[in-house]
Amino acid sequence: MMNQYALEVENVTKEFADFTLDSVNFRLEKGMVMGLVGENGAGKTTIIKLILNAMEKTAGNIRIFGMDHVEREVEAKERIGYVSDDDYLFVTSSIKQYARAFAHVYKNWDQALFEKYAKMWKLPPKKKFSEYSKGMKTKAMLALALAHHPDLLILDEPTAGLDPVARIEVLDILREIVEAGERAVLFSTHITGDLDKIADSVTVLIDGKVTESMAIDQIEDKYAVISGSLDALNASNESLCIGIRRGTQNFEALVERKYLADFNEVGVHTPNIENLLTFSIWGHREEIVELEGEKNNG
Amino acid sequence: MAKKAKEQVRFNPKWSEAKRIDKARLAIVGRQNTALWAICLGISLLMIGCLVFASLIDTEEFLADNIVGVFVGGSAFMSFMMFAGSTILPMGKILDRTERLQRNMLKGSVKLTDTFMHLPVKKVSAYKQSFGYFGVLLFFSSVPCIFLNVMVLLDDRFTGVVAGSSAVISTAISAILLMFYLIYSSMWKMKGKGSSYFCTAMIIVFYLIWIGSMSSFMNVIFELAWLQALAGMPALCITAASVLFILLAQKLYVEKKQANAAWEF
Repeated sequence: MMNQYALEVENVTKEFADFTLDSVNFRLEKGMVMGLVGENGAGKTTIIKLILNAMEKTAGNIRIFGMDHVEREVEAKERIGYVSDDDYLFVTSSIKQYARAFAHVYKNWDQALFEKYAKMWKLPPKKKFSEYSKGMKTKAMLALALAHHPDLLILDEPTAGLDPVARIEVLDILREIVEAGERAVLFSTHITGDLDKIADSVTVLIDGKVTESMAIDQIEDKYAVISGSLDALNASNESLCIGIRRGTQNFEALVERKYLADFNEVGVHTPNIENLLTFSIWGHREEIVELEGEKNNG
Repeated sequence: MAKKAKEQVRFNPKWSEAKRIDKARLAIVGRQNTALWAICLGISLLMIGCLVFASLIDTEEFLADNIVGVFVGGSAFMSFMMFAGSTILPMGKILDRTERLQRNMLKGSVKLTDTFMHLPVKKVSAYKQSFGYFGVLLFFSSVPCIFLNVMVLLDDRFTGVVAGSSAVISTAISAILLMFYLIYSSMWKMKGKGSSYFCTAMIIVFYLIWIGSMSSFMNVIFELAWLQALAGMPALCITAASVLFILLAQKLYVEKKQANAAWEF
């Protein structure tokens, strides 16, 4: 039976001295775009490093197109295109040199396609990588990543640090790639606005834990953002909120729609990815503060 | 058009993964690396040639010049440059601070390892590529030691300071060759800064011996009777044992241990 998933992450744990990526689970279907969102330090890059076997996992399984990512590392990586915010290229070399290098290691390297992208995105082939602007670097990495016809694109904060024009250009390129509909894309970012137009699903990562992994259209089916006077909150309905943002007189909160009846005199709004992420983070922080308070009192 | 077709690089399924890594490395680092390699190789061969000819043609003057360290140390240093300039594995344990400084200055990665860990190659193949060049270091640093200790056995005139210094150099080079495994944590993993301090200490010791064998300030040590007794067969055995250990450890342990290893170091 054909495997329908491009990427399966099952109970993946990675323990560090001061941080733990705790039993992470998510699945990315072929041809779909998944946003991996979380604040800085939530563990997004760690997951990507684990997928690429750049880091050893403590426990769990990762499969790429049904292949174990360690035992069949070469075959798996052959089908991955990787773009990152952090330059992983040797900065004193040119992309022409890189294209020659990649041609040695990728079976499906397509020089004509690489040259097409380089020409289309106006990338001087002989210029040193370090002399490229931030936007050009991202485009160069995309050209190198796409020229071996990957089936899975892993993008680790590709738009972070880009100026607005370069960010829109890169997003337009990504949208074109995604609209072709053949590639699965794992798009890690903390800029949730980038995902609104291209993502099919989202996985929210907070402090090393996946708090939600769902289709984008399920967000508004499952959740709602409510707002109103602080008087509308009480001890019993407050615990139903995933996260609350309090002002001096008013509040905003994310709740599951099934609990809406527990709140009186509140406005109800449709949430987006940013709401899901930010309220989840605030809820998590409050939980930590409460736990620390209990510890101190106890 | 014909020239363009000739320049086109293609994946060669007949090559080993280690060879593909090396070809990719050469494409990335460019011709300067090849030029540096050629210069170091030339100097290394010259040093060994001079050592052999100077000791055989005019033994008395060779011994009087106290010049062993120039040839042995020079050859070992040049071969280390060839190894360090060609391995795709990070030399981070020794050069950690330098690398971090370079990364900051260049605003990005300067380590080839960072690139290769994202490509369809396994870490064990990177070890094999690195070990190929380590063989160069192994050859150029052990051959002069072997030659000198053979000369100690064959010619009585080589006893004295030359015997002491060649015994010390043989031991130092054997220890430095074994350091390879520590650099990449492939056999022993020292926690924290331990390995960095250990490697730095080893290099300082090597340079002290190197400089000492070129001047007379270390003669007090080289003239120690027990040290001179180590020259010849014992030093040959130490060198042969360390080379044999390295080859066997690489094939029987490291390559198996790293077969499915993650790319972190």
